[in-house]
Amino acid sequence: MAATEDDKRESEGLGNGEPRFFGPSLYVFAAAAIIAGAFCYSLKGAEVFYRVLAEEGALLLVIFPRVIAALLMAGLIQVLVPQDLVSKWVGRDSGVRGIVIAAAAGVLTPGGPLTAFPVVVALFASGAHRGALVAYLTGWALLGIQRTLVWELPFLGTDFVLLRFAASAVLPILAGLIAMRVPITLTPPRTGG
Amino acid sequence: MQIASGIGMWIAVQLLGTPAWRPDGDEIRRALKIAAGHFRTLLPRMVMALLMAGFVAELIPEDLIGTWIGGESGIQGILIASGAGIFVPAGALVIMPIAVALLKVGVGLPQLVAFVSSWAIFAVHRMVTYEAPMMGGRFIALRLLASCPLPFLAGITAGFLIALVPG
Repeated sequence: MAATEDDKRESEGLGNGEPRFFGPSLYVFAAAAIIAGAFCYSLKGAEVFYRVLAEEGALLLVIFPRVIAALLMAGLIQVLVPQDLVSKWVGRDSGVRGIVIAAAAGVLTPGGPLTAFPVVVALFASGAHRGALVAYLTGWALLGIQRTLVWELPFLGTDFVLLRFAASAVLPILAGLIAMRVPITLTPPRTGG
Repeated sequence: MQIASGIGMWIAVQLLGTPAWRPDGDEIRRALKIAAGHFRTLLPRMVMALLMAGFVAELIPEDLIGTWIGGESGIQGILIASGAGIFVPAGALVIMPIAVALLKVGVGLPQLVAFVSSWAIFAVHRMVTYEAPMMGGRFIALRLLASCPLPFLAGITAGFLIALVPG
């Protein structure tokens, strides 16, 4: 796939564009913070405003080291998990087993949409079962390890992540199974050209 | 739950220690460079997102959250939280501070699980930007139909798990 402007633009904020400090998304975030802060100051008063600043500052200090550790882990995962390993085990329409493998592969898939969706398209084109496709995307979206490590763990902590993981472990497979029964016809994309 | 963290770290160490997986110098350098690039983008946005969420948390009336998706709101709260997650068309960097803010104002854990799961699955921003052009509307319809019940189920299961493990 040719590199497009979409590739350069940040997708989930990380991992798919050129790393940069400033950028359109920063201005949006900053505007949101300023507007929310202005509302808070005028509606709740200065004392609340400064308390929030202090609380969020303290939270940032707690999150900081966790984020660093998580990003190192994420970088290692991205380097160590070979793309073809993922492709080898998904991509065959072997029914339930394919669904389970696809779900597991999705969970292990690192990166943002620009990593996962090309894989899905390629699998689709080479004949992967609809159940496997849905299981893969759901596994990636719901339980993607790299994204969970980088984003969820620093903010919400180990206990919550474990709870959500345990509660959701079987769900990508369930989604794949349901997808096999849904009466929507899919035609694989034409490859090449 | 320190045990869980300990087990996790031990697994990570074992994984990285396996000869097939052990990163060499080049790979470590690459990984560090990737991590540093992430960090440069992430830090300022995270600061802003945290500030925004903190301010928003002050503006949301606490009893509103408590009534609709608080710890006592039960199945109804899980349903509402599942629906609410659809309406956050933004990335993880926005949803996570919102989740933290919700915790601050008293959201229940099963409800929060449903909320985060719903956002993760529906991810409107991602659907429009990537999934629609790459996979087409029919695939989206298929995936959404198959995934509808998931956030609710996640919330319910989380509720059970919490009830099973005391304290």
